[in-house]
Order: sequence, then structure tokens, then C-alpha cells
Amino acid sequence: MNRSVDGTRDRTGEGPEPDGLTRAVAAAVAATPLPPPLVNLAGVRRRGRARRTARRAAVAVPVCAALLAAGGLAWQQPWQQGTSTAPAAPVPADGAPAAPDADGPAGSWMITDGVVVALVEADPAFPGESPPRTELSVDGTDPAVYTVVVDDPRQGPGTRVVVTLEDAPPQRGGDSVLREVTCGTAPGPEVVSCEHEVLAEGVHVVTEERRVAPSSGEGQEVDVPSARAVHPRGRVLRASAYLADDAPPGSRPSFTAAQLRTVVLHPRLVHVDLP
Amino acid sequence: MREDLEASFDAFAAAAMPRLRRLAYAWCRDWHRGDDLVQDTLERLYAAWPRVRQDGEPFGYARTTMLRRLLSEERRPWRRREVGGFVAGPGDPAARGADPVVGLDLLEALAALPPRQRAVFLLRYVEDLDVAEVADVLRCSEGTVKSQAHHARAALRARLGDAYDTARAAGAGSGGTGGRR
Repeated sequence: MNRSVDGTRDRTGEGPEPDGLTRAVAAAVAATPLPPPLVNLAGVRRRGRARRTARRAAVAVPVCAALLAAGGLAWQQPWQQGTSTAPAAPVPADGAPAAPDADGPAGSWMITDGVVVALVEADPAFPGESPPRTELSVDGTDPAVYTVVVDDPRQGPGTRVVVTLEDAPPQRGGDSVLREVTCGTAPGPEVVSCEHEVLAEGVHVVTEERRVAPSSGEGQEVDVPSARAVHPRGRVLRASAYLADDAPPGSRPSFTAAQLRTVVLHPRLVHVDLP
Repeated sequence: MREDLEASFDAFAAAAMPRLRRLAYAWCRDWHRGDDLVQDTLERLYAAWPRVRQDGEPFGYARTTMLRRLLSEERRPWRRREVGGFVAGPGDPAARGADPVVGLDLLEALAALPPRQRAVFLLRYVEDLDVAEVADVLRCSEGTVKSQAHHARAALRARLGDAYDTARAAGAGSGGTGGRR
């Protein structure tokens, strides 16, 4: 047997039984005369639908954002790792271009492989024995720039070819990008020769050679070729020969400006999707 | 929403609206605000209607939604100021809770209860829920429900008891007309 808080006995544990006054108040509520309702059922349905949509969005948007973030992280991580470690690309015994690492990311493969193919097609004598290194630079505002560095020690160690791929952002499109590929505007060493051409498809191509003094201060100056292309869809490709700081005197690039021009116009590099 | 769901919601809304409106009015003594609350409750119900309908207790869902929202709103100072400043206009329906027998405004006494006690009173004695069900709706213990019910009844008696007893003793006829069944 329970005892309620107001001292009345309560056999059922349901609290005090209602007295006359309680019944009277409850009856007054139940008997309240109703004026015409102000509730608008059409409005209920309309706002109810909006509320349901908002509730679903409130659940779906964070989930999608989390999935996208996780996917993006998983996609970018292998690229960023590539900046610190050289990919373990196997070197074929027959001297063919190095194949990308079979365990590497698919996007990295496509770009690295495309660069090697473009270099081999531009200069069939290019051995491609050294594993290419792929780097990704992201500064938070501009789109990512993919850089593939390939050693080319045919005419001395410390000689490399650097190929970069970038999709120019809209705010950099048009004139600003074209100024970049116009002769004589890019900063750097003395320009020996420069040629700017506009192809029939609207591709702007600049090929140039710059005279570079060796870092060690010894030896003769070297003419270093490069090529840049801006494609109509905004893809910007750059290919440059490069002498490392530790290149001994006498090292010089094997690729010519014309060959690098072929690289920046190579269809695989023009159409490959940048992640 | 599919047509059968729309139709079932409309039918439910039409059937449940009077009961919900009476509860809302008993809570706030303001038909305009009461109808706003009912409309908001029905919107929430509509958003969850497929699930609520499947659960088979749509009125309980609506009642719980409305009372929890009322309790939540009562905690906000701006709401207390707004209600305190409400003056019924000439177009407002005159729906007084006067008992025709004893001539007392019972709803006014109910509205004067603290929110928690009011909620317990409405659920326990007007909606006729048992203690466990009230505790479930208000997310509190059964002991709390019992004590709140006791305090609510004590407050009503303190406010109306003497007048009520006097009126009934004066031979006003049979007393309560319903309540807990």
C-alpha cells in the first residue's frame, strides 16, 4: 500500500484520487466552448514540408560534408606523401620509361605516366630510367599545382626536367594568364630567345631559352630551354629543363625548347583530370 | 507526401484539433496564442507524420510535442513578459471557464498554477493519463508527478476551495461534471 504525498492512501500507486474541485476544474477545461479555429491546415502542410526538408538537410549536409572531407583527405594524402619520398617506381631493364608505382594512387599515376610518355615521345632518346617524383602544392587559394620532376642525366648529373600542370582559376583566366605566357614578362635570367605563338585551337604557346650561370660560379653559362602553354579550357602546362644547384660544371640540358614544346602540347597532359 | 498519408493527416488534424485547442487554451488563456501553438504542433507532426502514423499514437505524440514546447517556452523571459502584457481585444472570443454551478472561474485558477504543476494537472486529470504516462511525457520521475499533482491540487484548493465549498454547500446541486473517469 502506498501513501501519497498529501497523506491520502493510494492503493494503486497512482497518486491522490481527484476530489470534487479537481474534477470541476478538469470538467471546465473539457467543456470550454471553442471559437472558430485560426489554424490553417494548408499552412500546416506547407510549413510542415519545409520543416521536414530542413530536418533532412540538417542530417544530410553534415554527413555529406564529412564524407567529402574524408574522401578528399584520402585522395590528397598520397600526393602529399609524394613530396617527401620518391615513388618506388620500378625501372624496366630494357630502358623503357619508368612505370608508375603499382601501389600508388590512380590520379598520381595518370599524371606521372602522362609526363613520362610525353617526354619519351618528344625525345625518343630519353631513357626515363630515374623514377619521376610527383609533388602537389596547395596554398589554399589557388588550385593545386602538380609538379613532376624527372632526372635526365644524359649530359651530366643534376640535370632535370620539370613539368607542371595546373588548371587556372577563373580570376586568373584571360589576360592575366596570357600575360604570363607572353615573351619577356616572366622574371628570371636573361632571355636568349623567345617565341610566342597562338595555335589554331586557341592555344597560346611560348618557347624560350634563358642563359643561366652555374650555381658554383665555375664553368660556362648554359642555355636552359622551357615551354609554356595555356589551353583554351584553362589548363596551363609548363615544361622546363633545370640545372640543380649541385650540378657539376659542364652539365647541360638534353631537351630542346622544341621538344619541350611538344610536351606542353601533348594530349595526355592536356586532357588528364587533375584531382 | 503520398495522397493516403495526406488524407490520414487531414482526418487526424480535424479530429484532434478541438482537444489540442482546449489544452492550449487552458494553458495560456489566449485563443490566438493557443491556435498558434496548435498550428506549430501540427506542423511538427506533419513533418514526422509517416513515422508517427506508423507508431499508432499520433495524438499522444502531438500532445507531448505541444506540452514540451509550452514548458520550454515558459522558461524564456520574453514569453513571460509577452503573456503578462496580453490584453484581450474586443474581437477575442469570450471563453471563460466559469462553472455554471459554483460561478467560479476555474480556468483562471488553473492558469495561475506554475507551468510544471499545470502540465501535470492537465495530463493527469484532464487527459486522464496515469502517473507513469505523465512522467514519460514530462521526462521526470513518477514521484515528481505525484508531488506536482499534490501541489497543484493544494494550490487550487487554496485559491478556490472555500468559495467552491461554500457554493456547493449552498445547495447548488451536484458538483463535478466529469474529470477523471
